[in-house]
Amino acid sequence: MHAIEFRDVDFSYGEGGFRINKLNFTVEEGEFVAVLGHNGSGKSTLARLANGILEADGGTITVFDTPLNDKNLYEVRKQVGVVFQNPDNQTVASIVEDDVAFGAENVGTPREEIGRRIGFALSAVGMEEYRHATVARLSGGQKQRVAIAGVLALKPRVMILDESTAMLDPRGRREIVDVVLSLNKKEKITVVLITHFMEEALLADRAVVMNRGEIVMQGAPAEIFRRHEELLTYNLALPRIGEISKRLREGGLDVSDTLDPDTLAEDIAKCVS
Amino acid sequence: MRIVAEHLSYTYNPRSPFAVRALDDVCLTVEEGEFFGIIGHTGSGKSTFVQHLNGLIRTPASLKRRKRKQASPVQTLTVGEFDLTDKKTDFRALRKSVGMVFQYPEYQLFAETVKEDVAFGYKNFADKKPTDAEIGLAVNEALSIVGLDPNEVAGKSPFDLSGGQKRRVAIAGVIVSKPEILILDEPAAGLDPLGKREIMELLHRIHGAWCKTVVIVSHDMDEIAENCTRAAVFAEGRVKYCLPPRELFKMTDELLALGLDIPLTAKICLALKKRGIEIDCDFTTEDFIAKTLALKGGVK
Repeated sequence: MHAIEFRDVDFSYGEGGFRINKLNFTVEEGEFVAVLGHNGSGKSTLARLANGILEADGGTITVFDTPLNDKNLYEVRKQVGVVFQNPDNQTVASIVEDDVAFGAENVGTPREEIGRRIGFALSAVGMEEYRHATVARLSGGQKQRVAIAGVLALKPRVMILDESTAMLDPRGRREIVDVVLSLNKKEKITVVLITHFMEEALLADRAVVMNRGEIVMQGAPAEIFRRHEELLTYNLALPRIGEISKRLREGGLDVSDTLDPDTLAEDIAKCVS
Repeated sequence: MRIVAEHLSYTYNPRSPFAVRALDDVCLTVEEGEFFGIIGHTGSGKSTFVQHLNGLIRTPASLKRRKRKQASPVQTLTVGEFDLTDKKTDFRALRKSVGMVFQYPEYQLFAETVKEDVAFGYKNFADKKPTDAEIGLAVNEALSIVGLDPNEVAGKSPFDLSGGQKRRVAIAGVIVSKPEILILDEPAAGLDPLGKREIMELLHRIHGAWCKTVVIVSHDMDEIAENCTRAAVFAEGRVKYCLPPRELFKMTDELLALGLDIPLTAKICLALKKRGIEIDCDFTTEDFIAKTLALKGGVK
């Protein structure tokens, strides 16, 4: 089943602004999709359309067989949770468990059920011991995990992360990526991860590259990162390792375009000995 | 202007249950003209240290005296002529000389036009009230060096610009008063890879032409390896190492033990070493490629 399906979706931010024309895009249930693209390529617009924060001007957006419209907006939003970039902008309460409960309370979840969901959500993100902690005293990675837990408490079937790791340090980033992977594998939640980091995109089942509101590349992430010429046309930087192997080849060393430092070293060793 | 810190310690909320020792006997010198890097985990004391450098956090003289009674080493912090542990120091003059760009500086834009936003710092630090012509000239110059066309953006609202452009405007607003030392807390964080590269190129332009010394805080080891003359590693409020990248990134085991990453070039060098090939490079991409290609020549 398609978790999310965009069919001929049109959208614009008004005259002369950024626009999307006839966008087609699907995410299968249980899939982990990475969305890449330079700033302003339409990644966030895609995320916002998928959970009805923005409304399409034309075409249909279908979430688990339900075409999105004004009447079912709130039902659909329960299924598609979005986590944004800045951890400080996504917490509302001062105590962790109140913050996690906020979304579920808003949709009228019964009290006992909320209690259970807080427990589930916090353990899924590895934050049980912080249940009664003060949100303001958490690190960026921890705050972002609380934000994810708040979305989880709504029991969504799809989770969209819009550059949710961009403001975190490497340790915080790893925390989030681990959580996302386990949600996808264990809880079978469909994941759409918007990111600039190659290491994160490599973990996905499929990568999608956006440029000017269009999907211009699609495929296995490792495959995408090897298509150097194309990446450059879409204003994406080559992965650093790709750049190094390319220049070594230009210098006459016959190395492969691997994304793994160890394999590259192996290739170099073969060439020089 | 040199930055010299000796035995610098700092505790947040001292004498309370919330006391946190953020800096613990930090000794560090940054020479004039350096492109200096500061590395460390969140909570390692980097930001606390950096905020000391333009007097946002001060180590009070009274504390200094009391420390002396306890026969512990005297803390000192000087930036050029300025003694930052002295209450009588002219902090306004210090802040004019030490420009500080915080993390995500684009969140601090506030004025109606780019020109007004950039001019704000200039007017504040000017010795006498500048004329409109002087302001215009300074703003245009600052915008040009950060790679923006003054004619195009000066009249626009800063909020109508893209993320990367906003960040440049914010940097322009700091360098407009021509600080001798420019400190930036994670200047490239949150940008896409090309945006990151542009910001680093911009900092090199500023480093040559405007600010003698540049200090960056960064989590990106590649960024440190490519750009910095030396880098200090903070951990638990202390400076663990302070070395040029060439030597620092040879200490792979030590850095990994601190939970820090190493640059990509260092990873490849390490993997080559396991295969019996030693490359002595400074871990910049350029040098790594040159040395690797030279290996091939040598074998021939």
